[in-house]
Amino acid sequence: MGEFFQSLLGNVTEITWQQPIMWLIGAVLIYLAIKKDMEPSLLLPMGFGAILVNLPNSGAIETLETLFNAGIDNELFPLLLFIGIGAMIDFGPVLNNPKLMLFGAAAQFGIFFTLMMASVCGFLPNDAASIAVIGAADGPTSIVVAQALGSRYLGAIMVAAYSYMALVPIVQPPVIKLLTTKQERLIRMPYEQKNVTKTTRILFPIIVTMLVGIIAPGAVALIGFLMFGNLLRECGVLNSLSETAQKVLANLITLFLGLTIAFRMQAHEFLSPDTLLIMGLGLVAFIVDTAGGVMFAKVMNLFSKKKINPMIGACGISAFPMSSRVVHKMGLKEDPQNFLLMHTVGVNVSGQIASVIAGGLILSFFM
Amino acid sequence: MKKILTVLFLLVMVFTFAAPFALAEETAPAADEAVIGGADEATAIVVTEETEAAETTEATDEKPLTLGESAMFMLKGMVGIFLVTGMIILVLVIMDKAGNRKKETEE
Repeated sequence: MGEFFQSLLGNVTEITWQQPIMWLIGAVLIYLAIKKDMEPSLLLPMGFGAILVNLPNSGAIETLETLFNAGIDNELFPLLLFIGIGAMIDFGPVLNNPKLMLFGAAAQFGIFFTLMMASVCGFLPNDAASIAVIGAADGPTSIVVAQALGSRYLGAIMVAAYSYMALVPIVQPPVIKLLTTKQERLIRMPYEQKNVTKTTRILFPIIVTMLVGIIAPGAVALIGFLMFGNLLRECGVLNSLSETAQKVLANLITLFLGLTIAFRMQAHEFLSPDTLLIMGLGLVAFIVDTAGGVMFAKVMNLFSKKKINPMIGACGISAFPMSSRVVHKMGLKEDPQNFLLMHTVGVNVSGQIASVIAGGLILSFFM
Repeated sequence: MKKILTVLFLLVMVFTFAAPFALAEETAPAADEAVIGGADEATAIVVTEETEAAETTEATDEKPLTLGESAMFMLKGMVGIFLVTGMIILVLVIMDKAGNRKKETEE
């Protein structure tokens, strides 16, 4: 009788104390995805995957390892996802007012500040650099950098990156309010629509790829795939490919990406004090990114005649389109007639480009 | 309160950008000077050579970055981002002006 139960329930005794904690973490991710609508396309597969790989003697680990080796170990999934993201983004607001790109650049300050903080906390250079890129607020860039630098914290970095991206509406407003006055938040910015030619729209992805590639060769794959997607969108002769990239390709890769990342969420790897430290550093990165963009706008206001609403600087993080919506809503709350949306979208897509450049520079420094 | 926070954040930014220059000499020269202070010429030469060797392999060393090194990476990174962004803006402005001139001549 004992043998009967042993053969049937033997696996139960294999459960380690860490595994139920991981089930709980998985459940929290699923809860956040379904109930709070926080990045559901990624947090739900990651949450389910976290449960899947933490069952005792889980037979799913081998399958997920195969997917991991096929799609993440060689950086294929995040790069393919970038084609879809590029096809989704309309760079029109940036082309209309190129100066907005400066805010995207300024808001990457958090990445490099976090690199310093992570180094002070004792992380090795490759791990510190990978953790810092959480501040890019860009999942694919974080995966590519962490994987290329061989960081052993990929799982924790991904959870931090996607969780904070989803928490932008909670993280950013208090930082913006702390650093700006009521008068600054009320600054109106009329939008002047210029006619951006089709030639400019087509040349933009090609020129950006070449310029970034020359300065930061490590970023060529990232920026190249992003801009290729955008070229598909703007060229006007490949609409069906553009639509496929935006919908089918992006959805398919996202589906596999979330589940596959969970391979790195096995209890023995994931549950460590370092994970908590990484979550803390990720928060620092997001806060300093936001503050960097806002402060840059305030400094620009000292020199420019046309005043800029400093809140738009916060959109320089690449959490697109969440960040632009949050700041737009904040502007409307202060003054129902202040429409900042086009400016915030422009800064937000600039942040997308700048975060990829930052990721590429980090790769150039540490590879 | 907001003004204090703004000034504090600006100070942090200024410090972090100035840190590479302030901390650049914190490691090697300090170590060398300490040994020279010990008045043993042979030891001083060995230590200096070792420090130089360590500097050349710092990127691959399995040690966390020092504050000075990470601050230098930050400076390089931010300068790099603004450089690339500035170049992109410049190209876009030139393209815009060229487009406008073409339109004017057509009209």
